[in-house]
Amino acid sequence: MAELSEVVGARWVKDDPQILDTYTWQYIAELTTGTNYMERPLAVVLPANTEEVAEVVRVCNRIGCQYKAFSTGFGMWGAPTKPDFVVQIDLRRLDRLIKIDRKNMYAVIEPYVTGNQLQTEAMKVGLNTHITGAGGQTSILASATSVMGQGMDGISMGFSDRNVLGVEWVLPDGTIAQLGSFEASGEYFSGDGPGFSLRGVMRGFAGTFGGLGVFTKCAVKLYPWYGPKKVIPEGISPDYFTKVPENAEAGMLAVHNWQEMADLGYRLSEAEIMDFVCRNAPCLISAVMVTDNNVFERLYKIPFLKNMQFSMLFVIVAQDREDYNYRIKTLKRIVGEFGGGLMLSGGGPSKAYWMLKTLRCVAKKTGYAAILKSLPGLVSMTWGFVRRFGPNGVDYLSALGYEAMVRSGMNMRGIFRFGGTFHTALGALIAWDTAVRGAQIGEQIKRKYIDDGVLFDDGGDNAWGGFYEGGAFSHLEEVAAYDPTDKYCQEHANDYCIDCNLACIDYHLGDNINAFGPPNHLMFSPACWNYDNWQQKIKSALDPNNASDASFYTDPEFEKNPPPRVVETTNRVKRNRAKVVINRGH
Amino acid sequence: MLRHRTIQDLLVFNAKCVRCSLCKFPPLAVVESKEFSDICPSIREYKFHSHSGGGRLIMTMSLINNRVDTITDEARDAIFQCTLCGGCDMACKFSTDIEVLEGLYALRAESFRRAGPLPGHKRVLDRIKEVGHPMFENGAKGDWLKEAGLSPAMNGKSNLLFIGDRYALLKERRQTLLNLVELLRIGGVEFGLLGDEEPSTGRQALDIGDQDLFDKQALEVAKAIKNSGAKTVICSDALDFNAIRAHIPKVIDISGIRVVHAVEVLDEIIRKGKLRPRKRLTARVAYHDPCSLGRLSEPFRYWEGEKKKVLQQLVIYDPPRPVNRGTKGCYEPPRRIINSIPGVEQIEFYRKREHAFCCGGEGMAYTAGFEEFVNNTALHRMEEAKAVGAELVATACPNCDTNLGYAAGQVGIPVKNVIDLLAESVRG
Repeated sequence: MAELSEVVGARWVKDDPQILDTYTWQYIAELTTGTNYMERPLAVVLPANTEEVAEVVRVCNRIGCQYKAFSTGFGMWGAPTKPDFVVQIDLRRLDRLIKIDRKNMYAVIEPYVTGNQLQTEAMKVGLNTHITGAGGQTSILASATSVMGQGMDGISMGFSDRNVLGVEWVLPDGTIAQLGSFEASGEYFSGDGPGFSLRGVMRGFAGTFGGLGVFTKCAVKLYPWYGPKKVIPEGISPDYFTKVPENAEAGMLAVHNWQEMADLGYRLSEAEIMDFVCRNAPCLISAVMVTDNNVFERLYKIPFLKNMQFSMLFVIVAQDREDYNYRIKTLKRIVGEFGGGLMLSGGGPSKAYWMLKTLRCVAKKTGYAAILKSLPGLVSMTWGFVRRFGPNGVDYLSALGYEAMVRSGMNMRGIFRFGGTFHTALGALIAWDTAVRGAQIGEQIKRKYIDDGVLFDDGGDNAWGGFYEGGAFSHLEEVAAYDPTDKYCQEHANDYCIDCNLACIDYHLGDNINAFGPPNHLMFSPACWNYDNWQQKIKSALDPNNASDASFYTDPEFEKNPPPRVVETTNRVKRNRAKVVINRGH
Repeated sequence: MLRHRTIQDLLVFNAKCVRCSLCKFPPLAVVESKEFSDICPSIREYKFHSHSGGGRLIMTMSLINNRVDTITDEARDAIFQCTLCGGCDMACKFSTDIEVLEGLYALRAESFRRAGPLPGHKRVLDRIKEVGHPMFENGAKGDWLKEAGLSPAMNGKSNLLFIGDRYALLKERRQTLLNLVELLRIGGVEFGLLGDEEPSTGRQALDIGDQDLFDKQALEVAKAIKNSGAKTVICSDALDFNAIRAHIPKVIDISGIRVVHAVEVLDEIIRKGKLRPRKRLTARVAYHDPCSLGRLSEPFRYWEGEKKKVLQQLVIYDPPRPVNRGTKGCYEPPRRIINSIPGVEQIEFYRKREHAFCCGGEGMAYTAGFEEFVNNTALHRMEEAKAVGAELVATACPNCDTNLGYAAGQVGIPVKNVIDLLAESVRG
């Protein structure tokens, strides 16, 4: 404590157990520890700048403890897994948006700049930023440098690891390094060179989850934004929405089956007409539309909504009217090729025509009787929107879709509402048709856990995801909701992930979204060129003292002396391996 | 059964916190500026997660789950370095039904029981016990009546003007009170007064965590209102407006009484043409929503029921549970009053209405000795006023007047109560 206080000042270090607990209670901690808590750190420290971060890191190296840094700190991977051995570095005081370079289209940020904050400022100068599915309240730097990077804007703004440019990096031993053009020129415009690119070492595919030092600054690419420069939301909580602006569109499209969903993805990607596109299962869409679970339960019973399974939400923000017309015309043509449905904002005969086509899509799955049965519920729902929002209420869904996708502010409201939390599986960055195939397999695996009472009954299919970089790759993760305070769920929720991981290997679905950390390496590494051997070499070279807590990256100590949770997970893998039976003919 | 809910009672909702940090920001849909994108004064000042709404709920879990035996001085400071403004609560409830603010009150009560009051708080509690109110000014609550030429009587009036401790005893707030009385008279609003017999609502005791003392004051207030025969209580002070609408009903049923704030009455008589603002005020005026008048003034809604699970893990409540999200506070009346003044250009803060940023003045933070926190919060709010181009900040709470007033000089923007602005314009 004394040494840390000397670095950052006594005010910015704490070791009170009750205060430390606020760093141990973490989202999906139960998957690692079987409780809502990760392990309590030795202390929590809040440095003010890169030099202080580096000095804290040196202190930890000197005294022989570990450290773990996080930015906005949402998720179990931000917290220690070893009790009383790790100093938690909370980067909240590094919260400056250093600059937005409009001409070269990038921003330089510190760790605690959130997606929502950067987007708000970038939009003012006609630019936008990639925000991940974790929501606009999370750190842009954390995702860019260290953790995954899937988001609903991926089709136009890519994946986090491709958006990161120059970085300032406190290496595990406390050395301050700069990568990319920053090292040579003091400017951040490129993430590579001169010389070898170190981005692969820095984060690779999934990121190192704080296991390889601390990132204190980075630049991220920004993208053109043709929408309004100022945000003008309407409504009151919990019904804030933004009217779909001129030359923009927020809507939903629907096809008839998974195969068409797979084919449609490629057509949409090739056409380069979308800014945001996302596949949401019906229950997730219903969840965002309502404000409490009692209402959700009623809404979810409407067969129409429940069976709008093969649909996608999208937002188009065109440069001008000509661009808008071209994109909508192209969209209609593509959806028309599949005989699909399309719900757009506004009214008129065109909307009615496409609504009928949408009804037909659903009818092919459910039969017209189900649609007729849904009518009272649909009328009631529409009336509810009109009552809440006036005559424009019928267009509320478009406004809500626009708000949810562009501002990434409703992510929590959707998936967390069912039981209180969720975890996710599958979701490798792969070809779209493989992702769609994975969603079908995930549905089967999940059904077992639904029947067993571990997971919320979303019908099995709750696959969420989209495309990246014009469809070059994509992802669909099979999210699963449950009550984090339910002991039975705490104990068994991770089994669902393990089963999905095993399915990824058996069915060649790629290394999935939670394939990080030593227990998962046991499954995936042998199938993927023993990648963790390389990770361990990188880790050993950069972190000889193993000071940077790499519990969710690769930890050499786990190999020699695996902690109980790793042993337990390994046993579960072996046990579940014998149980997973997928319908291969699906 | 009416009572304050404990940390255990609230566990069913509050254990659902997933540490997402949405309690630190306004709902993301409404953020207009990075610089002014905090909703929580406490996390803005102290930075540790323990100083956020969610952080304090997690501190509560430590007590419930017996992870700590005692509340240390440092932990107690973290619990009370908060303005109880409810920003975290409304931000969280955009997405969830977690009872963050009620959780903060329950944690304070638990801290009070386990660790006792902070020294500054103890003095306030002692004062309430000794003289019946928390103010350290000399004199009685009815002394101001002589100055106004009024007598403490109801005389069959159906409106009770509830003055409150701060307006009654703080000399620097006296003129606002006299202005209010004058405006009501001009507007033909008849009202009675309790004078020295007006009890304190004792919300300070509730903020400190002494629920027993608050309950005692609540019962006295309810009794005084009942004995007055009033059908409507007009609150001068936003703090009392909050206490009578949102907290006293947790202790005793006063559902037959209509509770309004003075600005609602003034707005009504302006709209009826009984009060005519005449003098021009050529200024860009930004209205600061006081927490107690805005998001915290939603009426208490009693609910008793149980958590159920359907569809295996979908949590629902039987019967459905009402959730206060801060949207039904008093937002329009003060704005309409400002707009009624000729020449005024009313503008808005980035953070407004239910997602307004607190002035720093509530939650008994100042009394606890956290002056720097309180002052920094007020300064930040006034910097926002400057950023939106305000030439004058109007508010409707004596605490906001005082607190923002301290920071006004630093940014060069005056702060005035809506009542004073209106009175000056009406006098011409």
